[in-house]
Amino acid sequence: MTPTLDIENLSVHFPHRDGAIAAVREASLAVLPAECVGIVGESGSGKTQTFMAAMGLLSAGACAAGSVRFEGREILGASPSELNRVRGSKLTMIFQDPMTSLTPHLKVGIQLAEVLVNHSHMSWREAEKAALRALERVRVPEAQRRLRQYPHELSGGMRQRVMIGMSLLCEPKLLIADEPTTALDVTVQAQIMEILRAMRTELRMAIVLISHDLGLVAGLADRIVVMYAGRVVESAGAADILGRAVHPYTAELLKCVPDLRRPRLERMPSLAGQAPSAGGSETGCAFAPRCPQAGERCRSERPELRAIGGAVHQAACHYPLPA
Amino acid sequence: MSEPLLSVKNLVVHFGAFPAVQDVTFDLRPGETLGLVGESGSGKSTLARAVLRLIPATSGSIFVGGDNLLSCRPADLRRRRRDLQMVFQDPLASLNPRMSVGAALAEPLKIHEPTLSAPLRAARVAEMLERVGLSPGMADRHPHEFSGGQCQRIGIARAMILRPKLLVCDEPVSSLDVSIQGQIVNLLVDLQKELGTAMLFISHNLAVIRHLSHRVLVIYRGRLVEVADCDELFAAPAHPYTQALLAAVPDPTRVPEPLPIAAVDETPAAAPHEGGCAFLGRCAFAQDQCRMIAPPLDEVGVRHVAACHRRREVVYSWRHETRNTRSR
Repeated sequence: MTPTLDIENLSVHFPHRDGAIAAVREASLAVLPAECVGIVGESGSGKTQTFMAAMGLLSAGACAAGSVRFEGREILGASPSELNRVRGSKLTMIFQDPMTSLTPHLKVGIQLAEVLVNHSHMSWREAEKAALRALERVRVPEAQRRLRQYPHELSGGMRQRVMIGMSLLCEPKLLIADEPTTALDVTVQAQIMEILRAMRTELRMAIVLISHDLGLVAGLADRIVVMYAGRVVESAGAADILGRAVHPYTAELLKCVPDLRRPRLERMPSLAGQAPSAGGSETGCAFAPRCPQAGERCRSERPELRAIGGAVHQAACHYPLPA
Repeated sequence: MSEPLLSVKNLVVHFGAFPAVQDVTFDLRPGETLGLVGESGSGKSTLARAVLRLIPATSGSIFVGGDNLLSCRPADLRRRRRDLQMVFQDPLASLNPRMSVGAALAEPLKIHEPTLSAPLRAARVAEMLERVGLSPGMADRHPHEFSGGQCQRIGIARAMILRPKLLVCDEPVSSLDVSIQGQIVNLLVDLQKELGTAMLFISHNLAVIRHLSHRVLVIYRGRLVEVADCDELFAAPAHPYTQALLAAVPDPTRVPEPLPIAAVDETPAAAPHEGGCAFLGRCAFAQDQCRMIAPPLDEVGVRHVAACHRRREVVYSWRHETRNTRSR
C-alpha cells in the first residue's frame, strides 16, 4: 500500500549567526491511508517543523533536505504552484491558534467558499451552499448565521470548528492537526476531538495529530511517534506505546499523563531538567542527560532507530526497557 | 480552625453593564490552597484580579487581616501589597524583557524593604534564584534567554521573594508542556509548605487542581456553582457543570464515549428565563423549576455546597455511573 504521506530522512535547518540550527534530524515516518498517527514531543522536539516542511510552510531561510512524498509524489522542494494543487484540498493543516489562521476582515462564509471556488472551480453560489454544509458537518450551531459573522465574533472552540470545516471542504486524504486544542478549555477540547473522530470515520481520511499531551493523542491515534530533539525516538501502535513503551523518554512522558482515576500522588510527576533547545551539538543520545537509565555508551554513541520485537515497534535506545 | 487570611464577601465585578463576577463569597486560611476552576470567560481571572485590587470591584468586601481592601486608605493598601503577590499565565510576557532577572527580583525588595543594603539584597536574590532551581549566576541574564519553564520559575521567585501571605496563581502551568508542569506545581507546593503561604490557584486543568488544592471553587458565568473539599469534589461532584468538566478530561486508557449533553452544547441557545439557572441550556438534568428559579448554593454534604436544584440526584447519578465504568 502506498502511504498517504511518506517522510524519509527529513532534516530541517534554520540559519543562525553561529551556523545552522538543526530542528529536525533525519526523521522518517509514514502515514497510511485512513490511519491516524499521533506525533508526541515537548516544545522544540521538531514535531511541528517536520510537518511545516512537508507542507512547504517553513519560514524563509530555512532549508529542508530528504524526501516527503504525498500519495507517492515528491512534494519537498516543489514550487508553490505545484504544491497548491494538493495543499488546502487533498493535504490540509490546522493550527493551535485558529484566530491567526482565519482572515480577520472577511466573513467566515466567504473564507470557506473561497476554498471551493479556488480548488474545485465551483461558482460562488454553489460554494456558499457547500460552506453551509461544511459548518453543519462539524456541528456548528446556527450555521447559517455563522457564515455572515467575522472570526472575532466566534468563540475559540467555534473558530477551531470553522477551521476543521474549512480543511475538510475538499475531502482531504490527510489532515494535519497541530495542537488543535491546546488553547481551548477541556470541555471544548473534548468536542473538537469528538469531531475529528467522527470526521475521520465519515471521510476515511488520514490524520496526523501533533501534541505535547500523550494522553490526548492516545484517544485518537492508531500509531504514535515520539520525537525528541529533532529525532524520532520511538514509534509503535498506540496500545504498544501506552502499555509497552521501551524508550525511557516515552516511559517518563507516560508518567506525566494525568489520570483522574488514579489516587492522588505525593509529588506531581514530571520530567527532570528540560528539553534541549533546537540545534545543540549532538554527541551520544540527546536524552541521556535526563535519562534515568543512561550509561557511559549513551553519552558517546548515538543510538539508531531500530526494530524492537515486531517490525512496527521501533526505538532509538541502547538500553531499551523490557517490552 | 484558624482565622481566615482572606475573606471575600458578596463580591461583584462589572465590566460596563456586563456582570463578570456575581455575588462570590469564600474564605481562605493561612497555608491553604483554594483551587478555582472554570472555562474561559467564566470570570475566574477577573475574580482573582479583583481580589488583589488590580481591577476595581463593583461591590462587596475583601478582608485581609482586618482591612477591607475595597475601602482602606491607599497607604494601607500599599502596605498590604507585599503580602499579596501574583504569578501569571504567560511567564515571558509578565517579565520586563529589558530588565535582567536579578533586577526583576530585586525590584520588589527595593519597594517594600527600602532599608535593605545592596549586598544583602543581592544575597536575597541569589538565595531565591537557587530556591526555585536556577543558579544564582543567572541573575545577569535576560528573560529571553530562558525557556518557558525557567521563566515561570523566575515569576515565582519574584512573587515569593517578599514571603507573601497570599499567592494568587493564574493558570501558571497552562502554557507549559505536560512534562514540565509537574516541576512547577511541585515547586509551588514546596514553597507553600516552607513559608506557610495561602494560595488561590486558578486553572482549567483539573489534574493540576486536584493535585494541589485543599478546597475547590467551581465558577460558571461569574457565579460559584460548587464548593467542596478537593477529594469530595472529585469523588462526588454535585453540579452538572462540574461533572461536564470532569467527563471532558481525556482518559488515555480507553476510547471515549460520546459526550454528555452538558459537554457538547456550547451555545447558550436556550436562554434561561429571567432569574432561571444559568446552566440550563447545557444541562441534562434540567426541569421546570430550573427555568424559573436560579438555584442558590445549598448544602450537599459536609463542607460541600452546590447551586443546583437536583444536586442530590446529580451526585447519585455520578456515583452510579462511575461504579458501572469500573465494573466494565
